[in-house]
Amino acid sequence: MNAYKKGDARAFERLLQKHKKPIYNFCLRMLGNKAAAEDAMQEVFLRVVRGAKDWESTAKLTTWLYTIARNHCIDAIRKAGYRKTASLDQTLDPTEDQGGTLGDRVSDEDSVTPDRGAESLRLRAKLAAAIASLSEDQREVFVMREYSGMPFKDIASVVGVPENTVKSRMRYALEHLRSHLARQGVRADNT
Amino acid sequence: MSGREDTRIVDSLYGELSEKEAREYRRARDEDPALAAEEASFEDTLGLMRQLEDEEPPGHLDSLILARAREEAETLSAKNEGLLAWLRKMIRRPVFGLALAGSVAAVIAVVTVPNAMQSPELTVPAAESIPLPMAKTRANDEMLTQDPAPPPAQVVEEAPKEDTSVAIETKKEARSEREAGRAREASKPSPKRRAPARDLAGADRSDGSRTGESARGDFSFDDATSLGQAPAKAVKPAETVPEKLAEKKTPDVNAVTGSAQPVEQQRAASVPKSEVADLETDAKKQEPPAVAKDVAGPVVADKKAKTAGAKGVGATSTAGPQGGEMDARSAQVYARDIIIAAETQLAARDNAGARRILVNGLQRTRGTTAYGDLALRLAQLDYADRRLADASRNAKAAAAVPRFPRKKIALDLVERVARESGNEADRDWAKEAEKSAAPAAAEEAY
Repeated sequence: MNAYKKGDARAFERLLQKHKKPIYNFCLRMLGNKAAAEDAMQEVFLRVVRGAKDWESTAKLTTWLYTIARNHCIDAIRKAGYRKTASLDQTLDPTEDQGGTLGDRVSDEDSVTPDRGAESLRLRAKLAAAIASLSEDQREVFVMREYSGMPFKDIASVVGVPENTVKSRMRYALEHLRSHLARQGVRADNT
Repeated sequence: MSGREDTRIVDSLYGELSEKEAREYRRARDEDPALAAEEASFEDTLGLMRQLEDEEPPGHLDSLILARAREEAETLSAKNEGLLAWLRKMIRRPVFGLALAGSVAAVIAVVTVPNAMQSPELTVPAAESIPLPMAKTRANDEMLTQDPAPPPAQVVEEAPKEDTSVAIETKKEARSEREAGRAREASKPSPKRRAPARDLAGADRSDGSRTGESARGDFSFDDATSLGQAPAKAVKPAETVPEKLAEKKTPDVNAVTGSAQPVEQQRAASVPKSEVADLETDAKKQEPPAVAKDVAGPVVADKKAKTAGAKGVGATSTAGPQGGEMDARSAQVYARDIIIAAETQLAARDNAGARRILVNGLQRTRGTTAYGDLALRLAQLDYADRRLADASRNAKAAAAVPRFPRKKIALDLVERVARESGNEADRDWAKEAEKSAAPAAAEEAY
């Protein structure tokens, strides 16, 4: 990033190659929609381009990237009107789970894909639906930790809450996923 | 389960417990089968979720992002190379070249001639066969004892004479008198004229007083150019101290352009007259009355800034430097802080707070290119919020700032907003402004 700030365009190319996949997947899992994730990824990197001159080398690039990505995803979710719930950090409440519709859709797909390749596809759809059923705050923490491999400390910095709150959200996310997958009939032994 | 255990089970799953904590946790888990079962079920859940593989992003997005990045890189590169380019340009100028050569020669003279005088073998022949350097040496000695930082005017004129002094003997007395006169003048306090000397030759001098001088942080011509902007005015060797000081004291002189025309007039001259009225009206609308009347009013503005940005960093960042109009460097630093504060508000989705911070920043950076930066950021924010009329006005205000390095971006924004809002007049304005900017840029390069 420092090299890019000095005007080295190739430095940005390297930066893009390194970070585009994790950022795209983060956006994909936050938004649950490929087209929206593509738009989000593009917007994130354009914002990086625009903000490069103000970037301080003391800041951690990954944290900055995910902060931009997260803010954009939240805006996109709100604009799309499919933000589910504002309740955060609460104990798991069965009435909160609104993933039923997605789960039902996945169950319908089960009946038409009997072969092994489709089995894997079906499982992936179920897992994606499980992530989509998480509340926004639990989802971002879970995705950043589990798929982007970010330490809890960095996630706390991105999300702007204490580290312990992040860990609590992670725990609630795991509880929710466990119960959601169980309802969908997905268990560790049937993989 | 307590909150502490909440986080400990997560820490345990991700191996983030210290050795001692892990020992304690294992003990608790062994004693509590429910905790052990919980952890095992979480491990199973994670095992399942990890089967969801990452997907490849589509490649077609890269080209668009990279094209935009390259465009921005050119701007960044130009900004970074601003100072180097200015130095290269200055070196080509005869006055600067002479000043530099003179400084080097003067330093060599100061270092070598006194040493030669101390050597008995060299002193006698030097005094007999080369009388002029002797006279000059005394003058130099006087200058060194009275003022360690001679003004550049002397350095420029002395340098060539040092080199050719052996051949010039007939004018010895007249020169000696002139040297002495200059030494006397150099002994007068003239802090503003010391700054250029410090930068032209100061690097080679080890005089302690010079370090103290630079530590004072007086803003000077060189400070303005260090921002990567064109110099205010080349320092002419013949300029006298009072002239230079009088120029410094003029409050309305644009520190960046160096023009004697007041900043507001310059801005007005570069904006079509119809737009001037709009901009003024807009400024009145945006500015709190107390601040609008007194741009320099730090107390009022600080209070307003604190009220405006009470939610975030803006509360302190927008306070800005105390005192009246800012010099270019302070304005640049201040504008950067303002933009960071505004971005913080934007991150907190407080667009109105960000807007207030930027508007407050505009009050204090008038007459500097930093004003353009803030106006442009405000315009971008307006555009993002679909306040197209405001976006257009602010982008125009940015584009109208003399020597604003991101004028092209501002004009592009004016044009884009005009296109989207169907405002033909603004489109024409942007095109005209772009055309008129091109010859100005060429002239500046020349």
